[in-house]
Amino acid sequence: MVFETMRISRILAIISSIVLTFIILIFYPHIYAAIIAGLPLFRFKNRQAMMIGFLIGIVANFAVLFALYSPEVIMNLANLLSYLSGLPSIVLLIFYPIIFSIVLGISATIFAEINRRIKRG
Amino acid sequence: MPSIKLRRSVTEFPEKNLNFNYLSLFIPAINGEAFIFCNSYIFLNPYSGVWSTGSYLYYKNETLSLSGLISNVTIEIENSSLAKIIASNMHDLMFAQGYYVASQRLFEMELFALVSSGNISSWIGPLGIDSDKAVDLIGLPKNAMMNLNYLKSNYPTIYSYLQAYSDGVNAYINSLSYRDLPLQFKLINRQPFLYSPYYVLTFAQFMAWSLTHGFRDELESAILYAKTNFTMANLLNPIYPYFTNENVTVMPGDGSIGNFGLSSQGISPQYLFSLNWYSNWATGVSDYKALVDIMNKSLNAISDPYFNLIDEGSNSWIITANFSSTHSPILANDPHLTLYAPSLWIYLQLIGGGINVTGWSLVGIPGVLIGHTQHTAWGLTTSFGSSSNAYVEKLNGNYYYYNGSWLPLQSYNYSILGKTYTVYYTKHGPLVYSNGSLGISLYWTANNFPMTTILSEFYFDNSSSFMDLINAAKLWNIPPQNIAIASDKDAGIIDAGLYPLIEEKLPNNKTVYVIGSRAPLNGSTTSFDPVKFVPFEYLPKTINPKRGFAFAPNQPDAWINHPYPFIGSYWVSNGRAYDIYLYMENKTPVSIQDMVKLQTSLFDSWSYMLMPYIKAALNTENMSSLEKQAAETLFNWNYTFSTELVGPTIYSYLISEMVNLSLARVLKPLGLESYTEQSDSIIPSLFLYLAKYEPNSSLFNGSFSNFVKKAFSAAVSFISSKLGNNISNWTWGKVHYIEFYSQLGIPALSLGPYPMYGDSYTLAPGYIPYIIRLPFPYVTLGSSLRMIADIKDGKYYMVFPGGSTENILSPYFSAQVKIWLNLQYLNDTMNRIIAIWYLKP
Repeated sequence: MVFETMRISRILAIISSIVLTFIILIFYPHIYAAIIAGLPLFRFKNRQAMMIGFLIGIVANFAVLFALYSPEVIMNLANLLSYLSGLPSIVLLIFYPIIFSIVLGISATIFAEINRRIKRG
Repeated sequence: MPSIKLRRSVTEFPEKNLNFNYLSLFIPAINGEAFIFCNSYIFLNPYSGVWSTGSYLYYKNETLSLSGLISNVTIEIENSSLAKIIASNMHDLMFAQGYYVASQRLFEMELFALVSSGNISSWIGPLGIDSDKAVDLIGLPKNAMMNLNYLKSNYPTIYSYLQAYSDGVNAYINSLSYRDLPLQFKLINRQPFLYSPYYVLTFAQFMAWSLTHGFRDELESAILYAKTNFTMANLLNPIYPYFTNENVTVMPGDGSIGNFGLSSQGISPQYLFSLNWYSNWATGVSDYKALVDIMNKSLNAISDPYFNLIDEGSNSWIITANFSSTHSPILANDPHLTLYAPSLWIYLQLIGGGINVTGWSLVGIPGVLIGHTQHTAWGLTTSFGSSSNAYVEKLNGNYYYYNGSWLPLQSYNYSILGKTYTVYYTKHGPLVYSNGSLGISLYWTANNFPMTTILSEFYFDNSSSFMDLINAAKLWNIPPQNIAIASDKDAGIIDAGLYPLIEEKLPNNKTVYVIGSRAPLNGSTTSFDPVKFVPFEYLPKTINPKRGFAFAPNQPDAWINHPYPFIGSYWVSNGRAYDIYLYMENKTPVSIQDMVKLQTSLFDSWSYMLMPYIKAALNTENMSSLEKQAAETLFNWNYTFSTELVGPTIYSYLISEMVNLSLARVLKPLGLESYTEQSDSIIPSLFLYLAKYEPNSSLFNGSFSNFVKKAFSAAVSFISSKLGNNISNWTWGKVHYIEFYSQLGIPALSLGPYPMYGDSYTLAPGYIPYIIRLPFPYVTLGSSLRMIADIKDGKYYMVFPGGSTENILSPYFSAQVKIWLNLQYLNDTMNRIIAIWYLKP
């Protein structure tokens, strides 16, 4: 029963994190806001929190990107930015998702660590 | 000493762009502000970052509530990129135009506004300082403010249209979130600013300055004179271009109007035009050599606006009802401007408040500038007569010498990036450059008089008769333009605008009022001040010409007996004028299909006239087999510049080599090589003139025949070294390209390059300078729109190299470019409504 409760709460934590991630991506697109999306993941162990946070960030970012725009448009824009900045288009394409996901993952790890320390007293 | 630019060179613009460090525009946005601090990578966010550009590719039906509207407005958007705006009153029509144009071209219009108002550095930082300084030096923001106050006080209704337009723009801006911003704003990390009538008028001033002649031409002309001599200056820069006669001027005939002409004033036109107009009696200046440095620096001081709207040429012509197969006048117009992506123009039909006008509106300025109503049509080409002048000022500290007294210089302060700068004014205008005791000031009509051209535009838009068109032309003051006008019965061309007149005392003691000068005038005396303007009734004009046609492709407006001689005239060669004249002189009646054929003609009259001399000079006996093949191809060429032909390539590189062996040899050591880099220059006509009348000229080293042989051999050798020995590969489309540049100068936002037809002298132009480079420098200016109007039958052939939106990913970004490139026009199959916007109060 405890195990079941824990599982449900973890699923809820993941769902909360996903919802927060989408809200942030759409309504408050500043990258540091990813910290907030890491908060619900505090129940996980540090490494798990990091990985789950990172995955949520990556998947959510690309889900938004490819749900809204055609791959052709995305590649055209990535090529244009690449031309302007001198950076490879793939770097420009993954840059925001990666940084967002890292921030989210680190945030989740920090909250998980705080939670662990609070629990330890 | 900086090298000067004689007239506008076609290479000026692309080089400016290519030299423009677009990375330095973008990278600060990445590295400096957006990337690290301000926006936290927001521009790469998957929802609202640059990727959102992909959300606005297509039009969809919309219903929008806009506070500021009085009644409902409908905007029907067609796939041809025409937007039909239907309102019930003028306020709403202007408001909706502002809203629609902003929704399509917000970045472009704000860029124009900032450049024109001398504030582009607020967007791009120190990169824009020189541009802002130049704009303030010319006086555009100051003039715009004067115009604003003038309109408010004297034409409150017109002012209210400008306000309504601006309110419409602002309604759109206020509706935007970061996600909705055009891509360009995100790239440079800037937000749009609120628009106002002031920006409408600054951009109008910017356009007016771009189309104004005199000041720059006089300085360039004087430098040429100072570095060579009168004979050479007159040879290279004659007052009338070679082979001008009374048949090819805008106003056919000897130039007199009614019975009023130079000869009726007791002055022989031949005598007047044979004089040395650089002389002290004509300008009050005795030594231009001493002024070369400040003249160069004056040119440089004003030559650096962020982007140019070069007007190398334009075409227009009218056919009278008697000579038209439809028994109704036909009007054709294609103004040649720098071809940007997106275009300067937006294609609209405005219906409401008593007007129903279709045509092209300049982005950022309300109304339709070139177009037609149900009963009238009008088009514009630039007249190259002087409406601005350069004055040499005598200075002492903050004083200038004028009419026997030392007067204090007036000052006007402006600031750029927080730093205050001052422009000093003499009686003539802003002091563009000064060096100790000497300076050059700019007299420009717009610095002294309000521009009523915007009123004229609304009069045109509201016209329903020929008299309405003439009344509209009367209000057109700055810059002077050849306005082609046609109603369902009448047609004509009026060279409308303010031409300042200077009273000159000739060496034979007669006095005459002349337009402009060949060189800067003495500013310390009243003798050379403008004293009045050419009265409207004596402006060159032709209404329902007897021969059935008239044309105005920037050739001389009037022949030598015009009552007010155009001394400060810097016309282009008569190449395109002859293209039209040779086609029309024996043609009657003329159909609208003939006009389509003529407007898209690739025939070059200079090559047609010059080739017999070249052919006579080239003896194929001693040629290599490759040269023989090339010569035969050239001899069989039909003088048209189609992309698939080889003849144009051989001809153009032959002329380039001829330039290299003659003019460049003489001018390069003098630092005047840029003379040879002009596009619509007089060079082919100069060669023709010399081949005909002075074949032993020193420019040809004494023999035109040997000169041509040498140039031909060099040209063939050059082309074969680049394209190989298979002559069939030497097609014009392989050496001649066009590119539509982004106003930001970012190649990735540009269109092209595409193989391009035409040359500088074809009616469908593809301007290039004669530079030995393969390919030739890309064509960057040309027909910015094409219109042919048969008013009575309601047939209109329209096309422009652009589309409606500035979204580079949208198919509507370049909706008409391919049609334009294929020398076609919009047809009925294209006109399909793809979206309707309902705007509600």
